Amino acid sequence: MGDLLVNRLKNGIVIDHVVSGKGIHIITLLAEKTAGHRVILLQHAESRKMGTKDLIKLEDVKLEDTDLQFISLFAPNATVNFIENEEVVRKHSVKAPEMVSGLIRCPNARCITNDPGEAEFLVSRLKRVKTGYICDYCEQVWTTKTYPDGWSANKVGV
Amino acid sequence: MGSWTNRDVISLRDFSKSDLLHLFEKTKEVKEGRYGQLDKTVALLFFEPSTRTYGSFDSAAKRMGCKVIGIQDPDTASLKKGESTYDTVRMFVGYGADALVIRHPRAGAPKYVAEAFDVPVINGGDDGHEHPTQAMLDLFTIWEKFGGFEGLKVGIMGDLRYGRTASSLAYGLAKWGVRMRFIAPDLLQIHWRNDRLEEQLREMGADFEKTDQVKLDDLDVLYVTRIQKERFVDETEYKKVKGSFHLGQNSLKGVKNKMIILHPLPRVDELSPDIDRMDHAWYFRQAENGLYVRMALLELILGD
Ligand SMILES: [Zn+2]
Repeated sequence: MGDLLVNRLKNGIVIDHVVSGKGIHIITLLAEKTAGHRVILLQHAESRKMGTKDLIKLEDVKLEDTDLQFISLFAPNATVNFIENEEVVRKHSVKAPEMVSGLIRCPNARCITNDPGEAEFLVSRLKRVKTGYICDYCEQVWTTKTYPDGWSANKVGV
Repeated sequence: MGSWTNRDVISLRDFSKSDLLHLFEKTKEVKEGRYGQLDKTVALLFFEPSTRTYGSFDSAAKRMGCKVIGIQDPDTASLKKGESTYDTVRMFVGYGADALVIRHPRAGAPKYVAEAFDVPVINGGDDGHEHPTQAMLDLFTIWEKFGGFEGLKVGIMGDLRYGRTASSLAYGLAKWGVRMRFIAPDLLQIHWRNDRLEEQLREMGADFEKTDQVKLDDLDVLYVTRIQKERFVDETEYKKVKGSFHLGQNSLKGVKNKMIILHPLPRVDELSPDIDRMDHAWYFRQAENGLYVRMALLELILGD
């Protein structure tokens, strides 16, 4: 079933090898980009490498570097396939960046980056550590396991 | 050693051993009455009230001859409702503040202010995150008593999960390779912290153990912190913990003669007042040292 979905895509993006259950976050994060486009999320698909995985198909959507950074937060080992005329023209292995700046607010409600009064002066910053990401201000650690579900709603404009 | 002039004091981790030793020597001089006067303005910006910390910085600045401006209590200050931290700070920088002391209910606020303004910032406590001047005065007190840190064994007891004083102190002690024993019920142990303390201590090669047993006989320093009732879901669990982590004269049988007890104060009932007259009780001296450490800091940061 998963393969059929991939194959049938004429133009767009297939994000593969997403941690099982985390695909929904990526879809939420890319919501602006995908508005009006057909989006398919396959959850808990069988995977030889990962046991189970999520797979996302975005029809006629183009992704930029910042989008790939979003994806890397939730899917550190994902593969992004760029499809044109039913062919994979480029395969991008997501690498988690060392620093994620201004893309996402820290999930810690008691962090200065979530103070509404500071929004226009303060750019959030997450730094990569061994186990995930750490907020450069409050230094709380976030891993793919501890990302709160509400995090995607905290996306800020860039 | 980094230069102290105009330096931000955001986290204890930013300071090397030699930076800290320099601070301790300076603090000793100040304590002996050897210090000059600074013709500077210090803004104490307490976005969250703290009578003790404010009082300590206020007297420190005044004794150093500085003019003090700022906010002591955000509720009574004539701050415009909803005014941003940025705008408030900018106003006091405009008034000519040469240094800012920031106490804030949001973690990371002092770092943010230090990035946004060119004036040196001293972190006076940011939520549960950091309180570097507390850690500096804790370390100074140990240094003052033992003349150094070599070969010491320090017990850190109480709420190690949520408390910030214990973690800053642990980072400081780890720099000198001091052996540490974290004494707390499992519920309040360091492995539950959300700030990577244990991971970072391991990366630093720190020598530490964790236990829920109050074993004190081989310690040189016992650092006690408050256990807050709010942390417990179960009242009987709290009572049990409170019972075994309450220290009185009887709990100190068999400890080393030179062992000192420290506490960031205020205490509730974890230290019985009958300990106060024992030679082990160093917590009032420790609190007083806060004044001298903060005077020394101002001199190092603002002096010529
Ligand atoms: Zn944060």
